[in-house]
Amino acid sequence: MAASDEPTRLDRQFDALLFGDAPPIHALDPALTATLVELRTLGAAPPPESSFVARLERDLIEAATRLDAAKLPAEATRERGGHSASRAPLRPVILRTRAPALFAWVATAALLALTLAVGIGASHLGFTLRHDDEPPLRDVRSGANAPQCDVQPRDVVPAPPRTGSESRIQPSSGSEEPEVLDAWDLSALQADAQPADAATATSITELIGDLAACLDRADVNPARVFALFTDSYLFFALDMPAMSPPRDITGQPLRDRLAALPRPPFGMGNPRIEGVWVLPQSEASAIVRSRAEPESAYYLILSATDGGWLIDQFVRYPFPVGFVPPIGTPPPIAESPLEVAAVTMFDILYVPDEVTIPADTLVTLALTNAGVADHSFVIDALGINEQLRPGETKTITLRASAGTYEYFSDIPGQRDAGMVGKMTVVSEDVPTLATPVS
Amino acid sequence: MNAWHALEKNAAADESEDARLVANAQRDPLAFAPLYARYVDAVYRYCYRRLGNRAEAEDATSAIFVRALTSLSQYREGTFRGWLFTIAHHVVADTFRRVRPTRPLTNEDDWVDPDPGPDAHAIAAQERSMLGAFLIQLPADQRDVIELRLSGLRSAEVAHVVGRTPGAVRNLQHRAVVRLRELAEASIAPMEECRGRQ
Repeated sequence: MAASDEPTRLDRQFDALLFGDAPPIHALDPALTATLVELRTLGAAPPPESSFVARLERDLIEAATRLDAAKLPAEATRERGGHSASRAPLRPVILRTRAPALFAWVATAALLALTLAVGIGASHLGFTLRHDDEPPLRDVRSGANAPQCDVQPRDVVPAPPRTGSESRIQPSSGSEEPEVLDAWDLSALQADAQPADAATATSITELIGDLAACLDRADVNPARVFALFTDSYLFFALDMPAMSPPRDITGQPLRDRLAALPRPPFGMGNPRIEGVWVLPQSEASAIVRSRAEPESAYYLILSATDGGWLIDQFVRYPFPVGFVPPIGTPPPIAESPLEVAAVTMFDILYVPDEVTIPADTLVTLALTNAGVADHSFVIDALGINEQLRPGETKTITLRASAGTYEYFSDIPGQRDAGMVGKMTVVSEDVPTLATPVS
Repeated sequence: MNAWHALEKNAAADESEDARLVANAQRDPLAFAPLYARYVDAVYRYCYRRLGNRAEAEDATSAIFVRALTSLSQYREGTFRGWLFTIAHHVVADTFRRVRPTRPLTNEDDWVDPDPGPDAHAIAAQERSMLGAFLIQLPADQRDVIELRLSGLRSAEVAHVVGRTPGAVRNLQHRAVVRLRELAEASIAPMEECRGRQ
């Protein structure tokens, strides 16, 4: 073997050691191979400290947000169709998951006006939703109970138009000057609704919690959370950003929210589920409020799909706090967790670091470790100690009496590094004791 | 996870996955996070090995990722890993020029970390190893090649980083390894001679 080949053979031998590649056909000088093996051990160096990694991550997110915000003015102008925000009429925000066929039945004046304003012709509404060569989105959680933040493409069969769905409704209270809105007529949609059984209510409540958790994981790719609805909605939102930029369940443009937040996550806050009903044709409905936007309410239609519930469509009603659903007061669902909270763990911080839940109420708490290190969620007073590996999510249910509870990570050094939070349990009653449920 | 395992993991990173993540991040800067998570360990370790202390390694790592984020739109060709380490290479060189303008790159063996971390003892032991000591005696271009290879780059990527041809990089690498072997043998011979007298 010519000596001139030795650099190439050495290079291949190094690749074999570094990357597991096949070694060179002709062996390298054993002394040089031994040197490479020794060199390989020099690859070791201390890892970055987790506090530094977290700090730099925050800095990068802030920098990314600033970069992203620089793009916003032009997009916002397109979105508003040239109108200023202050002149925008008060309208419900209608987001849809069923694309072409169903588009007709809730083709509200608001949506069409917006469509025309941004110059998107009707032909564009029959959009192609997925490119076959696009890789599937990755799961953001793992484990048996992981929410499917990235569902596979589904063939959703469009439901027939709902009777009276194009009627106009008006807020029942709270507005100084009642305003007629183009939206779904809830009394028509809810005409055949039945109170959901406890299992259905729990399942849908967990789904809402999953959505919150997925949104809180949206730090790296906000769009993927929308696949929780259906792929068609995801690509609807992505393909038509000018008309309908990606929105979260609060109905607020996600980008605006990201720009407004100094640090992750970009979640929806703790949603409050005010009622769950079963509808004909394997559907259900729910009314949800986000504590981050208490003046609004959300009416969701869910579809029984793939053995579970899928949020199919929802409408945001920008009604004042006094909004009362036209269908009346939702029936209570005994012993079903009606409250959902989410806490996301990053490297050496919880977000949020303060959570408020109602006293003596079953609460589903979705925990997600979005960091690169192991973290835990511990509340000594409630007997809670959940250990989460990177990427893992757990859902726990608890009931607590009024009071303030500290949650922290008991991984050595993390609590001292500031990985602590406060859970406030509020009640009109005087607190007595706290009882863990699970 | 030990350091080498992390290095192997990064080295084996799927380039097509990088390409997908880069495309996402070029559309949406907030989607840069997975790229950061993927490479922060390798970049930090590279900086630590070159700069020799934690504080400067952290500063350099920050500068590298901020620069990568803000200039990602300009990235067009080659592997992302190679592009990122090109930035790292320049930032480390800038650090040397700024912090130690009079100190040559090859005389770093007497640097002391004023703020040693929990791994200080282990690292000190590694740095005391003969090969580690010999490595810093290599000419800067040879050491650059070895350090980048140990950071998980292939020769073609190293060539992109240092602005040489792949063949030139292989030759530099070969000369470096041969020189390390010679230095090791030269140091072992007196020790064996000493043992023979005993």
